[in-house]
Order: sequence, then C-alpha cells, then structure tokens
Amino acid sequence: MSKKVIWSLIILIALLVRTYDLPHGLHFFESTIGWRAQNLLNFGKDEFGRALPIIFSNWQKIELPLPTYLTLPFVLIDKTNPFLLRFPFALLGTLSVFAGMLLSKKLFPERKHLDLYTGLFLAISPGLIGQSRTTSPELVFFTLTLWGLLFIINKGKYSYFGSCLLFLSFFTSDISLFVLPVLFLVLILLGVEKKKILIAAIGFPISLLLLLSASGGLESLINNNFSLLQNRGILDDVNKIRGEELARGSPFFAKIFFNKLFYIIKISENFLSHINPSFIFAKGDGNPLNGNSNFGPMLVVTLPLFILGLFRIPKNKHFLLLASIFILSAIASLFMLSAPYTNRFLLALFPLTLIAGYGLTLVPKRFVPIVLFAVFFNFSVVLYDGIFKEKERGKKTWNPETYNLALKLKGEYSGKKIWVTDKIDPNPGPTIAYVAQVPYTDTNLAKEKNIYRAWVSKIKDIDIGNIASYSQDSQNFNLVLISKEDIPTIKDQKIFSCKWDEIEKDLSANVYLKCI
Amino acid sequence: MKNKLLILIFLIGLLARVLFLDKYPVSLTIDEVAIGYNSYSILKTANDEFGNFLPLAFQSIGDYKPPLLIYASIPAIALFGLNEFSVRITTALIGALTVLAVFALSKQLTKNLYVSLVCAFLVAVSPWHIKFSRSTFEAVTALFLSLWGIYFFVKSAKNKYRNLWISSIFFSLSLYAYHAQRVFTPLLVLGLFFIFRKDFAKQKRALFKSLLLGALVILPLLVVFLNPKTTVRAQSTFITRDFEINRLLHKAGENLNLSAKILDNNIILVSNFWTKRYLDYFDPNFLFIKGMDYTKANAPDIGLLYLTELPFFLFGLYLVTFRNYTKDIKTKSIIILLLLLGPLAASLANNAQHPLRSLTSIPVLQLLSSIGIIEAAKQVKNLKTRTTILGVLALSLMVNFVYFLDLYFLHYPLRSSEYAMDGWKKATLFAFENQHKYNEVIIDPKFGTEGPYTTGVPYLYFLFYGKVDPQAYQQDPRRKKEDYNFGKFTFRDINWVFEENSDRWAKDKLFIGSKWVLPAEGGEIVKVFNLFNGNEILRAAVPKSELKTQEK
Repeated sequence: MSKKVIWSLIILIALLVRTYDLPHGLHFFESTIGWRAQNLLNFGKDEFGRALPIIFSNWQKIELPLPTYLTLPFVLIDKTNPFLLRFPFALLGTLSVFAGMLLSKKLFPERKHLDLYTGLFLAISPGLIGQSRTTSPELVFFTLTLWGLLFIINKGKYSYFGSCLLFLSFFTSDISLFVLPVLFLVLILLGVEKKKILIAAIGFPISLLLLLSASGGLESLINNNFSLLQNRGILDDVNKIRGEELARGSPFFAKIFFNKLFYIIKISENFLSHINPSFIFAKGDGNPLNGNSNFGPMLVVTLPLFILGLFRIPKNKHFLLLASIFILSAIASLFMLSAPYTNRFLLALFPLTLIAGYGLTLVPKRFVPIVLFAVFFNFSVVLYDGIFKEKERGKKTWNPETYNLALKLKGEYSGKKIWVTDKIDPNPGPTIAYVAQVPYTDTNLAKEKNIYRAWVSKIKDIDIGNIASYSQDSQNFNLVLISKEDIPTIKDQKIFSCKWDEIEKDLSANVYLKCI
Repeated sequence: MKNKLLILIFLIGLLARVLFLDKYPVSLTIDEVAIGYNSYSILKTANDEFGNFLPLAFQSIGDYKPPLLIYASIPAIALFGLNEFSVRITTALIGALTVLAVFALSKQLTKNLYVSLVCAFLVAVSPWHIKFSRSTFEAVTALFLSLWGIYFFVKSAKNKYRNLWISSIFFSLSLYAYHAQRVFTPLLVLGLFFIFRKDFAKQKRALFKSLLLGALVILPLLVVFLNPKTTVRAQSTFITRDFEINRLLHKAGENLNLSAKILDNNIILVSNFWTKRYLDYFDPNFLFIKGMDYTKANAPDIGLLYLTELPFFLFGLYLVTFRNYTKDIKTKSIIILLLLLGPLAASLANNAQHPLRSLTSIPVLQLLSSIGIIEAAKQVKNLKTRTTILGVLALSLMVNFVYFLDLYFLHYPLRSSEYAMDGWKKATLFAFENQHKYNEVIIDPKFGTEGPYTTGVPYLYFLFYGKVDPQAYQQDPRRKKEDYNFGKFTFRDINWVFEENSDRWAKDKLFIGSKWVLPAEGGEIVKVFNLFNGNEILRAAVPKSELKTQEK
C-alpha cells in the first residue's frame, strides 16, 4: 500500500471518529456559540446586541473571537443543526492530525514511518477526538499552533504564513497567552528567525488588551486561569494548621512551615499532576466535555511505546522543542485551583504521540503488526465505550434533556407563558434560544449589555430560574417545568397542589409538567 | 569512616522509630491490639485467643492474620508486658534494621558506597517507612525479609549460587509476614530467575536445592491455604470488590452481544480500572507532595518521599533507564523490576494509592534519588562548590525531616486519633476499675464524633488493656456461647429509647458508648472519654432507674 493511501486512510479515520454519533444534546458553551452565530448571521450582532464584536461573553468566561467566527459558514447552512455547529471543530481536529504528520516528518525525516505513526496516534487519541467533537476553543488553538509551527520552522517563503497562524492562535483561547510567548522564546533559541516570531508575537498584546478591555475581562481572566490564587479555602487550611502550631506554643514552626509559600507547593502540585502517567494514559480529567471520561487522552497501549521512544529521542536535537511543548502545556493550568485539564493540556498530545510513534519505529519490524493490532484493539475498546456507555456518563454534560425540552418549547408549547427550572441543567437558556433561533432582542441579555457572567433568564415568554424565585402571583404561566430535585425545595406547596404529570416519556423522566 | 556514618544513619533511623513509641501514634489500632493479645495468648497458652494451637493463620476481625509478626512479638511482650511499647517495639526494631538491609542491598546493586549510604539515610528518615515502622504493621517485617532475600540472591551470584538457599529462606518467610507479599514475592522471584536465567542454566544443582528448601518452608502455609476461610481477606480486598468497579461489572447471566463480549467484557473492564490504579502509584503528587495524607485534603501535607528528592529522583530514573548508569544489565533489570513490581500488589487491592500496601516500593524509589544525588554531585567538578551544594541539600533534607516530624507528632494525631480508635483505652481502664460496682458492663461498638459511623472492636481493647488471662478467656463460658462477651462485659448495641424493657431502665449496669446512643436524658453520665484533639468520643452512663415511674 502506498504511503499516500495510508495517509488518506488515517485522515479518513480521523474525520470519521470525529463526526460519527456526536453527543445528543448540547453543552451550554456550545449552544451559546451556535445561538451567537445565528444572531451574527441574521442581524450582524451578537447575543448582547453588539455589532460584529471581537470579544464575547459566555456566562463563565470572556471568549476570544476565532472559534465563534469559524462556525459562521457552517451555521449558515442550517442554523439549528448541532452537527454543523460542531463540524468545523471536527474538521480542524482532522487537520491537526495532518499537521502532526507533516510536522513529525519535518522534525525527524530520518525516521521511516514516524509521520504515519504520529498521525495514527493523533487520529485515535481519545483526548483529541473528544475535543474535536465539541466547540472547543483549545482545539482551534492546538490546530493553528501545530500548523503555525510547521510553517514557521521552514525557511521558505511560506514560513511567514506560520507567523500569521501563530498570530491568529492568540485569538482562540486564553491559554495561548500562557503558552505561546514561552514557545516563541524556545523557537528563538532553536534558531527560528526573530522577525517571524515578532510578527506572531504582535498577537499577544492585542489579545491581552482585548480580553482586559472587555467588561469583566480581567475578572474572567483571573477566574479562569488563576483560580488557585483566589481560593480562600487554601489559606484557611494553612491558617488552621498554623493555629495548631501556635496552640502548642511553637510559633517558629508555624512561621516557617505554614505560610503563603504553600502556594508554590500547590503550583508544583498542579504541574506534577500533568506528568502523572495515570492522567495521560489511563483516566484523563474525567470530564466528558474534554474527551471520553473513562480513558486518558492517550491510549494506554501507547505507554510502553512512549517509554521506548524516550530511550532514544533525547539524543535528537528537536527533543528540546518537544519537551518545551510538553512543559508549556502544563504551564497553562499552573494557577488553577485544580489540575490537570485535558483541554488545556491538548498541545502536549503532539510530543506525546510523536514520542510514542518514535518508540514504534524502534520496534523490530516483525512485531509491528502485533503492536498495531494491540493499538487498534485498545482503540476499539475506547470506541465501544464511547458509543454505548459514555452517553450515560456524559448526560449531565451534554444535557439531552434540555435539548429535548427546547425542541418541545419550540414546537407544541410555543406561544405559551412558561417557567423553566434551572435544575435540569445549570444554564438551559442558551440551548432553548439556539434551538428556537431566538433573536437577541427577545432575551434579557440584550438589556444587560454584555455583563460578565450574564445568565439567560428570560427568552420571550419563557422565564428560567430557581424554584425558590418562582411566584404564582407575579406571572400567569401556562406551564411550569420543574425537576424531581425541585420538589423538596418548593416552599408554597399550595401552588403545586394538583397531581404531577410527566410531560412525555421521550422528553425526560426527570422533567415534570404542571398546568396552572 | 564508612562504618561510623552507617552507624550514625542507623541510629537516626532507630531513634525516629522508637522515640515516644508508647505515645505516638496516640492509640493502638485494632490490628495492633489483635497482634499484641494473640502474641500474649501464645506466650501464655500456646493457643491464640480462640484456642487454636500455634496457628499459622490467626483468625481476626474480617481476616486471617499472617503469623510471623505475632510470633516475632512474643519476646518483647514477655520482656515488657502487654502495653503499647511492647507491641510496637518489634516492628520498630525491624524497621530500623531495614535501614541496614537497604544499605547492603543498594551497595550490592550499585557497588557505590556513597549511593548506598545516601539510600540508607533516605530510608532512615523516610516519612513513609517511619510511619509504618512505628505501628505494628506486618508490611514492615515482610519488606525487611524481602530485601534480605534479594540481597542474598544477588550476592550468591558471585559464588556460583552456593548461598542461594539463604535467599530462598528469606523469600519464603516473607510469605508468612504479609498478605501483599504473597503476590509480590513470587513475581519478584520469577523476575529474578528470568534476569539470571543464563547463570542458572549452569547452576542447576544450587537452584534445585534452593527451590526445594523454599518449597519446604512454604509447605505449611500452603496447607493453611487449603482452608478457604484463610483466603477471605484476599477475596474481600481484591480489586473487583472495589465499589467503583464492582457496580460496573457485568453480572452473571447478563446477556451480552458479540461486540460487548469482545470489547466490554469483565476482563477488559477490570484491566482498564486496574491500569488507572496501578499508574496512580507513579503519580508524582502521591509520591512527593501529599501521599501520606497526614492532614486534610488541600492543606500542607507530605509525600512518601521528600519533595527535595524529586529532581534527584527524576535524574536518577533518567540515568538508570535512559543512560547507562550501570553497565551491568542485571542490576539495571533488577532496579526496573523492583520499580514495576513495587506497587503491583497494592494496585490489585480495593483502595487507591495505599502507602502501606505499596511499601514494597522501598527502597527502589530512594535508590533512584540517591543515584541522582551522587551523580548530580559528580557533575560539579569544583570541590568547594560540590561541598556547598551537598551541604545545602543536606540542610534541605533536614528541614524536610523536621517538617515531617512536626506533621507526625503534632498534626497527624489531632486528625487521626478517631480513626485510630483513640478513647477505647481510657474506656477500658475505667470499666475494669469500676466493674465491681455493677452486675454487667455493656459496651456499644459504634462510635464517631460526627455520627455513629464507625464500628469498633472493643472486646480486643478489653482483652488487651485488661490483660485478661488468655487461659481464662479461652475457657470463659460466655465467650463460648456469645462470641466475644466474657466476664461481666457484654459487647452489643445499646438501646436507650423510651420504651419498656429498653436499656434505660436497667439496674446495676454500666453502659459505655458514644453520645449517639447514650444521651444525657434518662441516665447519668459518669465519665466522658475524649480524643487526643479534645472531642468527646465515648462516655460511660448509668440509667436513672428511679425516674422510671415518674417519666412514664
């Protein structure tokens, strides 16, 4: 079989596993992007009513623009199709596999088949697949950075294209602000022209300024990247132990052992959590949004190959680049309250898969088919789990109940005054708005003017909130939708005195309907 | 000089293991009192607490204990009586002697005196090894025996395996010492045979002799294993019993389609789960930051190894695995074998990241740190700079050691005393002192500061601290009929409710239990027993019988 055919096969596999059987339901991060894209296409304005903005708010964070704008051509085809909303990310995920193959060939031209092995491991990496199946800004960052690296280390006329891609990387995810500047320094050390780096580096201050200039930008940057330093609990725990020391009358130990230097330990802990083999090869971060929650971002059978690769690869001059990328990927989560996160660590998948691929090139030829069989078997296990079991585990992430509810609200319940609980999903508004293609003018967001952590609590005749805030007197609702979890918290039992009816079996066993 | 240094290291290790041994840990655990009383029972009657003659598996709560430590503890108990010190001293001494075993083994493997001394020192001050050496944990003895087993195995290679039989005895004895060794030792021996396979092809006679001797030593144990009850512990703690995986396993009779049979069968599910557990033992945070779990989550803690060792550990690992630190492939293979096998038995059990069960990873982790330290020092050519760097390193290790002592002696007791069954000693002594005033003393085994969520085994504390004559206990008619009850002591749930015939109307009875079963109403609290941290854990009460008519 010719190499081109194998390349094509790997790309095909990569695309297939990134687009087949996408999760039913939408995480509110996804539906916000979809709903925003609808508004941008319909009115040229985002969900807050701002004309073609270059910075967005998405409830828990301020978002950089590239991921949203990338979805526009696909949302244009069908504005309420979740598959099309996610498709550009699947495509970019596939392109990242291609970039990985080219880059490994470029860095290690002497290793026969290394490009194929790296590509294969990237194509079937559970972590990368997971990120390619959702609207992940980190995936966009990963793809642009890989392509950028590929071009920028070239000496030809296209190398400036690499600078442009790396420049654009700054507008994908805030982790770029931590990773790219240091990566640029490494590239300079490796002899990449400073001029090219400078062009790419212009993105850093612009992106940072954009984030900081947004309403709540600084807060978002801190909350989403420096949560460790914000958490009061850590200092409380240190103080408690300090108090035990003082109570025993040893203020000296209290001072030297239990002080704010503990933050350095916590930061080290965050870093070390990324080099836990169990995280990389076995269990990941357990968040279905970041990949299959039952497996690591790398297949476990690639662990021995990775170790084998490590035996030899340090002697290669490009090892510094690979090691730097790995370390930088961990740096992105250093100041988080807990770590690691698969999505923030995504860039490390390139050196990891490359080193595992390098290991495979060291395996005697006659054993390669056996190893590949083991790899495919391992992948089949992950695939089976993903198709048949992950759906149940990821229910609270993808919220199929909210999506089904949104379809009902759009259809037979449209025109009624409805109150919806926030218990079935912490933020159901964006999905309801996305499915019903609600114009930005018909929600509370337009009035709130881009407030950080603004929450969709009103869409046309639909109110969303906590059952505790529900009051029969204030509104005349035709429908009140609550979940089982709400029942014990209802204060005024009289207003819900009649018998509960389940909406319909297909809607959800967890959502109840009450006719007032 | 070498000997002086080694003696100094040994003394540090010894002191760290025996100082305040009777007071810290603050309370004897259930396992400690069980081991102590059974040793006492064997000493006095040659029978265990249940009257079994010189058993090789000691019936206990939820398991059958390996026999070695119980027999090994007899001399100390004979010398010092039945108390905290006598129960713990045997393990503490074995723990201290392990430092010497570590020195001998690392010297044998690396042929480097400095590496061996540093390795011995790191084990001597190890927060991991000290903790378990100060309590009566069988794993410490098992480790000690395994280390000498490896040592004599490697050493015998030099004299045509003539002394291999010594190794064989140590390995076989280790199987009598701790459950985990029954997985670790056979695999270790197999691994060693594989590494030395070419030599053995020429030394079949020595090999045969050693195998035969080993088989003879473990034969009685194999006979014990024929009793299915003795394997209860292994079954109940096996990984498949872990709640996390157990609920995900397919049940017998469940219909699976072909793809599920291939890709989602129980072997795959358990393997995937086990992989996570096994790799978790190589989690740097577990090893260097918080594995010992002395304080609550997120608070400053300590790892199995000192944080200062981390860079040197990584350097040592790099040198041994990726560079040819040692040209002897056998040494390299043994180090890697120990590294991989160390956490294996622990990972097959039902708890994640269990420092005690993974004690078999000592001393290979410290050995890698030592290699890293000595080789890093060698990189510095200037003698002054080298001395300064080593001095700073030594100071840093000292600070780490003091930090560990502070956590261990001050903070850990505050947090762990409830878990360690603190309070039962005081309650027992009180009960024995006052038993003459009552017809019956009733003890409720459930307790806890936040709720009655822990079920203790108070009868063992009563036997131990009451120094109950084993002969009398074995013959006690109540014990024979009613499981653990003996003399005036009854161990059962207390029923203090406001009902006819409940315990609150009982006459001439003393009740010992937690505040959850002995509220102040309806009774008189005669004594409160507090934990090390001052929280109440148990109380003794007598019913106010005279209130009966009035309240009714």
